[in-house]
Amino acid sequence: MNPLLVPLHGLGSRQDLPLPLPLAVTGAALVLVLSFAVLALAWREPRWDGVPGGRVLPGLTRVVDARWTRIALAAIGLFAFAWVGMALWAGQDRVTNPVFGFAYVWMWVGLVPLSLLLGPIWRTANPLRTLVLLARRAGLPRDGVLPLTPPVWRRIGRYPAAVGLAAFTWLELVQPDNNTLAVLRWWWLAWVVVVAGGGVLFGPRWVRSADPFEAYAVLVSRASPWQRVDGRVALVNPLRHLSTSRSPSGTWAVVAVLLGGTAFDGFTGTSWWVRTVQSSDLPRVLWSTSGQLAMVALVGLTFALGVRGLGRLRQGALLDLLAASVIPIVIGYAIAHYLSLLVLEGQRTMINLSDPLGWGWNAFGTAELGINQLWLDAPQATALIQLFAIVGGHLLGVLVAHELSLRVLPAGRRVLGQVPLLVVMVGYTCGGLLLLFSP
Amino acid sequence: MRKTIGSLLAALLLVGCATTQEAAPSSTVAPPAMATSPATSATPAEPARTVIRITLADGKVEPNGQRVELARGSVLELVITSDREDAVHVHGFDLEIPVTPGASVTKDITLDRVGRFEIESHEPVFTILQLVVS
Ligand SMILES: [Cu+2]
Repeated sequence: MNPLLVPLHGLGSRQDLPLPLPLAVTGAALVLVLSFAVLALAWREPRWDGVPGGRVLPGLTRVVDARWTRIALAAIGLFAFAWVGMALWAGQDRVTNPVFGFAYVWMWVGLVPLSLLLGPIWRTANPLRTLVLLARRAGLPRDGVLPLTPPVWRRIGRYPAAVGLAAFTWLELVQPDNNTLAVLRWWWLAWVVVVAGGGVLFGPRWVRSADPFEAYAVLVSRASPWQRVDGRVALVNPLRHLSTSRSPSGTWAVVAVLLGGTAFDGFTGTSWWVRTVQSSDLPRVLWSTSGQLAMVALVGLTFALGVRGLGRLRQGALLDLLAASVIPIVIGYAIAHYLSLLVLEGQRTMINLSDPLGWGWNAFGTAELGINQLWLDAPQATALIQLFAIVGGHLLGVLVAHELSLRVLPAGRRVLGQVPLLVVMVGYTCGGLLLLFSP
Repeated sequence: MRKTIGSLLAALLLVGCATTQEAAPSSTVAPPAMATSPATSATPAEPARTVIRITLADGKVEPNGQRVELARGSVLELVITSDREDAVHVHGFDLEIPVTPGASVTKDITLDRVGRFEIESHEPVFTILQLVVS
């Protein structure tokens, strides 16, 4: 393996260069122009009005819904769970153990492009879901030991997953020694007990509510070109997908946790943050925990303020509906911040996965591969991709917000009512550019 | 941006290092505390050189997380003094420089790769510098 990319500890020993100032400024200007162009020029009546549609593909539907497809996907998920579980519980406590890269890079980052390109495939492959379904086959009651009523489920929504996502972000960004097996094993246990254990108690629906990875993957898949229309798989316009797919309660919290978490990650890379925390006598965990919470709260509050312009926030329904418009911004942030990590550390994880126990195996024939470093030599391309992801995410988000706003705003306030949320979204995107510029 | 220039200036002042980033042959103006400039015998082929002094003392580090922006291909010379057993870890370059109390360690690093890298101490963990190579 090339020594360049062997860290002595931890993942991500290299970060992207700060976004060059001219690109950051161009991005911000584009964002402003695009935002108000949408407000002034885009359609004036709801275009889709909540009704999904697209080119229905019966052949693809048959393949996707085939029993063997679903069994194969579930088997892949279970196999990965067992293989990486072996590395976690029996592997060596070194950075070459693939479990770290698998958790922090392949799962956490990789699920974004996977779900964006292939739709909600994660759900089918989710090993914890499969375990719960297998338990049901083995005689567990259909809706778990303690069935919940539909109104309760509706209220629970995605809130447990939002908590789980905040916890995983905390593990990734704050938890000391998060690159040691001892720490990761505890978190793995918590994940399995809460998600699969809860699934046994309340039925498989709990997995959808509580598994942070599934919730994240399903959220991202709402921007994919694959949507079910009348039960069949259809090729759709991602804008229509975002504006017509269901936003369960708590979606706004999931979005705030994700966007706030990524923003906090960028923020901790600024010299200002490092210097302030290091010169303080307060414990770093306290700084970081407060920082993460503050960033999530900032996103949640500003979002609520923006949505408030559209009408009353009755029981959060409006917040959840409009949360769909922040999904592309979340995806843009994730790509801009983590694509290099995925490309570089993702390759290393692939290499390490061949030898989960550190016994010199080459199970997948990848152990001897090197890391392709083309990526490192093209920092300008990285910067352009980051800019494109952030600005593109913003544009999609603004268009979705426009469509959803037209649905809820009374005829007289259709333009003005959108302005607060638009301003908030411009703030998110320019904030994202500023963090990439990384003062 | 002004901020970048500002932080670079701050780094220059606080770190007590002098930088020359021109492609032309260059030498380092040694800060007062340093006895000699290492690049006195500069030849046209010699890359730009930056000297940064690092002090690990009283459980703290100096510089304290400053950012330095350097050109790819230039050389960074670290001069480290410590009052404790520790190691200075240059992330991304796979370099761990052991330090012992009292002795001063000098290390040349050829900045042959682009990116943002942390230079940190491990016991306890401090980010000493954010090294930006472009
Ligand atoms: Cu280190």
